[in-house]
Amino acid sequence: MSDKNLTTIALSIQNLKRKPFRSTCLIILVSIFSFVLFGGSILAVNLTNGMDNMSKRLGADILVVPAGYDKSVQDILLTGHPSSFYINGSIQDKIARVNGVKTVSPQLYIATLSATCCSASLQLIGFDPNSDFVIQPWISKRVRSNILNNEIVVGGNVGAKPGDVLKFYGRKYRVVACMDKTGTGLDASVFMNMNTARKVIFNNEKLSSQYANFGKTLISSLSIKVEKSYDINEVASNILKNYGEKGIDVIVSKNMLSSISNNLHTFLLFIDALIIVFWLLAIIVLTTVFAVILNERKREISILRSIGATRKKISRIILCESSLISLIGSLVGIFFACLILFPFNAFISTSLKLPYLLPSFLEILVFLLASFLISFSVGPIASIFAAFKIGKSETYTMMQED
Amino acid sequence: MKNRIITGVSFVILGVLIAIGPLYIFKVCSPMGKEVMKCFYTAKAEIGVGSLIAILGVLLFVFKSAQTRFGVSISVTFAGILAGLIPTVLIGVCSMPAMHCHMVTLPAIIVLSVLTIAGSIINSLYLFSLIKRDHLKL
Repeated sequence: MSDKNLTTIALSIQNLKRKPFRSTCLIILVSIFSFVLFGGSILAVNLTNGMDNMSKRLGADILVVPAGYDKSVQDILLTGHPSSFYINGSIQDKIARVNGVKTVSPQLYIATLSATCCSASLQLIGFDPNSDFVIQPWISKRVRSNILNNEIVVGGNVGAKPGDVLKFYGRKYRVVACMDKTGTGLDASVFMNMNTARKVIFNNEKLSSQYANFGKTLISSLSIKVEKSYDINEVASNILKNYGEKGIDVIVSKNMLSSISNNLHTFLLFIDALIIVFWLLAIIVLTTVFAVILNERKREISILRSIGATRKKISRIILCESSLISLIGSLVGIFFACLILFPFNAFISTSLKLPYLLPSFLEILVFLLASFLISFSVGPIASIFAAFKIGKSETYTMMQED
Repeated sequence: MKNRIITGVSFVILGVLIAIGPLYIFKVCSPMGKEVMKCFYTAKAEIGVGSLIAILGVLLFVFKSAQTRFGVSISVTFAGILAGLIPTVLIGVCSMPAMHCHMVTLPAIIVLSVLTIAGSIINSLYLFSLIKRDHLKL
């Protein structure tokens, strides 16, 4: 054996190689912990980011929708699942007169058809740039002037860029801007002014005959901003009391957000619990395994001591072995977490049906480093006891015990 | 022998998944009418590359010489790179992120090709160390 083979690291590698099954099992345990830690943290951050963005985007205090379509509106906002539903636009002026209503702005939702294999169904959203306070402030960050007729702004998930021409119901529309991703259903939506949106319906024979009974001023929803001195729930109940029989329903944004937030909270608690369980499991198993290894290896340690290895050296070998297990396990776990989380980002977002937005590259890097350090620390923490015990033992006693 | 079985079987599984996955497991979009889209051609091209990876996996199992296996392992790396480039650069998938081929097929092929590349690089390094050790012995 050469001198090189007697270094701490070389001895540790040899020890791990000698028991491949045990080493692999310990590496798998640490890798599962680092996978859950990094994957769970990124998932939690994505959901929290998505929720924050959702509450920022949902600028209205109250939404008025056709009766029975409150779930459809939630689907549009959360998952971008396209829907079409209408009420007569004449209700806008009536609702504007309700006490406590500060601003009212209409929206028109049209679900497109997935005509070809490569064009999925999209949600077209028409809005009135003059009265709008929900979409316009967001869009104006990208578009200097109001959107003109036949111009559209696309969400971050539509897959079009400025200058592209998209075709809906046989007519072409020019993309003037593409919005940043928000993590909400609005990412899969196309925005246009109310005039263009109504033309999409009335220029199409089938759509215009289907929705003829809603009149020329048809709308899908009304976004309402309430005066600060009024209670939002009270205004919502006044609207429902006065105009409920006209086939409308009201959604109080605060209530909708708090119900989504409760679901999210439960999910985040589950992730936290999973991380803690795996952390404890990894620590307990590794501590036990190293304590058992120590008993098994008394002869080997005694020989090393008798050929001149100091107690410190033996402790170092034990710590090095556990660190190597932790290092490989952490890297493997984080690698697999990255391999699933980032390429399948859109799929996870669609499956969860919750607002979901990836953090910046720098934030991801911080989480990656933190997860690595925490999962890497598992090995050394678990073997400290074994290393300490070995440092205290006398060679003669160990040989006798063996 | 253990290395030959593990690497051979792993690459055969990865190759078969790359070849038939886009058609049967993580499917590309179904054609509507006469219109044929990019993801359809990606699926066709992956049959070829996936089959090549699977065959190279069989060769890794058949050949005993570490040098030959080293050469085959390097070929697997390049075949893995090619498998990843087909849906991303060379042919592509449907541009809409909401499409099934974009949301599921593309990431699935990327994951499989990354695993193929990583596995073949690790195997090549292992085989290289074997070859080097044998040379030293001589």
